[in-house]
Amino acid sequence: MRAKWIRGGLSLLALGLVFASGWLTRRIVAYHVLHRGSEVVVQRDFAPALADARTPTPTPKVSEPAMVQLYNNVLYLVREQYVEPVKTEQLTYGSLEALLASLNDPRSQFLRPEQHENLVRALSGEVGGIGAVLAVVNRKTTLRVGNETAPLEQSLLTVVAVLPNSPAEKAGLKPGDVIDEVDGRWVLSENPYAEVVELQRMHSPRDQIRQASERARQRALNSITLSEATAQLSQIPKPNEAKPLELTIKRGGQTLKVRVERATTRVRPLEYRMLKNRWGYLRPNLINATAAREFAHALRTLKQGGAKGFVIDLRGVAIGQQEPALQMLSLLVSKRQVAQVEYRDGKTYKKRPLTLPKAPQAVGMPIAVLVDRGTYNIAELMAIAIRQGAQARIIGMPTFGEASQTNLYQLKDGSAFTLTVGRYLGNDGTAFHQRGVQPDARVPAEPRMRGQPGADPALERALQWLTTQEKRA
Amino acid sequence: MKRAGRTRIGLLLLMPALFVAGYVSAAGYHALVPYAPSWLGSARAALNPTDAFRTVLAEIEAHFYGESPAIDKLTYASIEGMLAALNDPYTRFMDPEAFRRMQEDTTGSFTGIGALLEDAPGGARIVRPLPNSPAARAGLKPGDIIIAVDGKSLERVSLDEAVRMIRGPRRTTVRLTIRRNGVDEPFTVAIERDLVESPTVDVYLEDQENKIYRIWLQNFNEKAPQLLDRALTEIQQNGARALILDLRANPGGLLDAAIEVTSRFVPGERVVVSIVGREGLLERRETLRGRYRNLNIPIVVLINSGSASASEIVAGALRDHKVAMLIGEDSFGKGSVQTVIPTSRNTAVAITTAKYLTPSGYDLNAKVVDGKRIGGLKPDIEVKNPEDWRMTEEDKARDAQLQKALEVLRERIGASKPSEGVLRAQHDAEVNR
Repeated sequence: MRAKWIRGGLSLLALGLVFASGWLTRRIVAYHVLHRGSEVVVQRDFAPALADARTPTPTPKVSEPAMVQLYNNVLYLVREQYVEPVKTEQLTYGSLEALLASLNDPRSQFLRPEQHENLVRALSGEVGGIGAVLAVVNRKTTLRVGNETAPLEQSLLTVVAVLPNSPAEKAGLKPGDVIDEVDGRWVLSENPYAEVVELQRMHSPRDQIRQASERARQRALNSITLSEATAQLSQIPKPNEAKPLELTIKRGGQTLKVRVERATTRVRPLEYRMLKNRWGYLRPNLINATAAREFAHALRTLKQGGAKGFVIDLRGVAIGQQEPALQMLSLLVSKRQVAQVEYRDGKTYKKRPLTLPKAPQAVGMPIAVLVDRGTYNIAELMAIAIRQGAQARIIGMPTFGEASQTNLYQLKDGSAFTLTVGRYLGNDGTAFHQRGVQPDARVPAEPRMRGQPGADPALERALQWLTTQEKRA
Repeated sequence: MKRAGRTRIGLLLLMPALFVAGYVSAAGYHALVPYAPSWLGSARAALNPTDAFRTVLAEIEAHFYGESPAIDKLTYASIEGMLAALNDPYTRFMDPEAFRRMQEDTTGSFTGIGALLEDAPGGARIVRPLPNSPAARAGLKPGDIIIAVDGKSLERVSLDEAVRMIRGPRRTTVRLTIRRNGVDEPFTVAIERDLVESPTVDVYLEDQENKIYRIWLQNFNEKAPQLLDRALTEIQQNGARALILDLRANPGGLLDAAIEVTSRFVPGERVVVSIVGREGLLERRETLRGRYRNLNIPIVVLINSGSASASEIVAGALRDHKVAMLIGEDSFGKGSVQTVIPTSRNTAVAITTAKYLTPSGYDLNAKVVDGKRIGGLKPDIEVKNPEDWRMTEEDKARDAQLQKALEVLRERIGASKPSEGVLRAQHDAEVNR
């Protein structure tokens, strides 16, 4: 009897030990992952677009190690000597933010852990805030001062796409809207003192300079930076601060004021159905791993249902990653090379093909691709790749025109940074950066009516074209 | 036996399952317990700043698609961003150009012609030549416009740049081309640069009837205490009944001068300022014995956003020791000590290593929050002057701060005005708050 108890106790102990050893193993693994020599982990599944599948974790070698030394010296001095104790993390984040900002590329930026988390969540289809995809668009324009003009650089916070069922959609925001003010504070889209500088250069009367300077000062005082504005628009407020945001929007020549709530918008990865006359309709709302999986499943289901051709609706598709886009393409196009990427090699620019990870299974049926201004980046690439790789037509409105291939690098403390590493081109070298992909047929449509037969002129036009293809065959 | 065997098999099957369970639970551990003790291994390792910087920099150099600034510019931008995270406007990085300029400014080439300049069409206008300066000796007059320096036109040159062109080593000559109203042709004068002694103390009788004097202390150089003494003697002899100590547009100067000046108004061995470093109190500076002037008249100190450093120390000490009330607007907010440390490649970093606290422990230093300066001394009575007001005799009529000071002092010395009692109570309340 006693022996039985001992044996039972011993086996429980053994089981406990096994559990503990499993636990410890994981921690040790985690520790080694975190404390590898390099500070950076390029996570391929998170990278919106990976520069080069062959590039391993970058070996941090810089052309002038003395510069790293200088950085280290200043860091050390500040930590040792500054009048108050400093948080190293703040210094690190401040410096990396400034480093990436100095590239003057809106798509290359440092992401603090919470920003990074937001991005990852958005890529998975959970978008916080107003529920719109925003991009900073740099624009060169001219400033009129008296009779003279001067060049002026603007960075406009632009609505790329409005997600279905989002607060932004309810508020009536539209792709292309420029957000000029958030809660009455001006979004710092240009140097407020540009006019003052010009007036000084022109030796204008002092009163005029002083007035302009005072205006600029007031404007600057009541402003928020682009990153602050983006943060406000993409976060979910605490329950007690859940006030709608008052936005001032520039649309065309108009200025509008709208109130937008903030919430979590859940994006359904894919919608599909069989339209009349057995045309398959597929609409990925974003391009991530889940959407790619569901896309494959939907395509199979529609084919089994006797589909004769497909409408792929990429209107308003602005969230996406390269890998899942390639997976989707591999079910549609016939050739393995789907696009080109221009990249920098030292001081020269070179091109390399962007190829599918495995041999494609062409769908072998006509495809009508629907696009509009909210078709952004990787979705634009998909459109152009389908046109060049299948029996396809692009119908709708010109796309946004963002062809940057951007990497996401995770740092081991949960922060991350993005870096533009290349530019997508069509397979035949067609550039769509800042121009957009031009549709074969220009047909506008109301975003809310997307995919509603009878109410969506672009869809109607697509079905017409598919019908002609059927007759030809 | 059979049962025991089954148990044993069950146990063996359970083992791998438990191992996996342990593995998985450890992975999720940090999601469940965010404040886990560090010896269990942290889910987020701290970032080594230098390694992270090297990694990002290397990645930019290797793969960034766009036009990247040169590696030194990238590094300087990073360091500036690092220091900006401290929210301290005085901790700053100096690139080779900035460091060189700073060295020039402090190693005595800081000599010029001694004239106050302002921007004007086609050049720089002389607001006024300082008394006894090279400019005054050369006969330059207010309103003259300098249109060229050493033959180089100022047509498309900023005022800052013009000043830099006019300045130069002592005893060298600068040729200025001047356009003067009433003189047809521009003419050129050669002026020998010299150390410019700006006036330090001016005395004004602002209210003749009530004998209210204003002493404008313009900076805190070595001579300031001595000149102040002379001014105080003058007003005492004239029977001053109240004093306005004007520290507006006074950028500060020597700490010793600030101690001396405070000692005129506060009896000996009281704290003027505490100098506090990272590890705590470094030094406490007190008023000097035998310097107290015992004026025994009400005093108001005027401050504005141009009152910085030593001015703020004096104003803060006079208020904390209840010698004077402050009227005007928030002072500049410069109460700290920077140490300039040269770093490699002809760069340097200025780091705030200590700060000044007023006797009551108020941190004089302004902070930069969201790109805006916040801080400095708050006046007891806030009065703003028009944005384009100038601190000149001609513009005195619009000096609301001075008017307020006079009003307050008239009340205090019981001069004129009915309903005096009520108003005085009101002002006393304001002084005490």
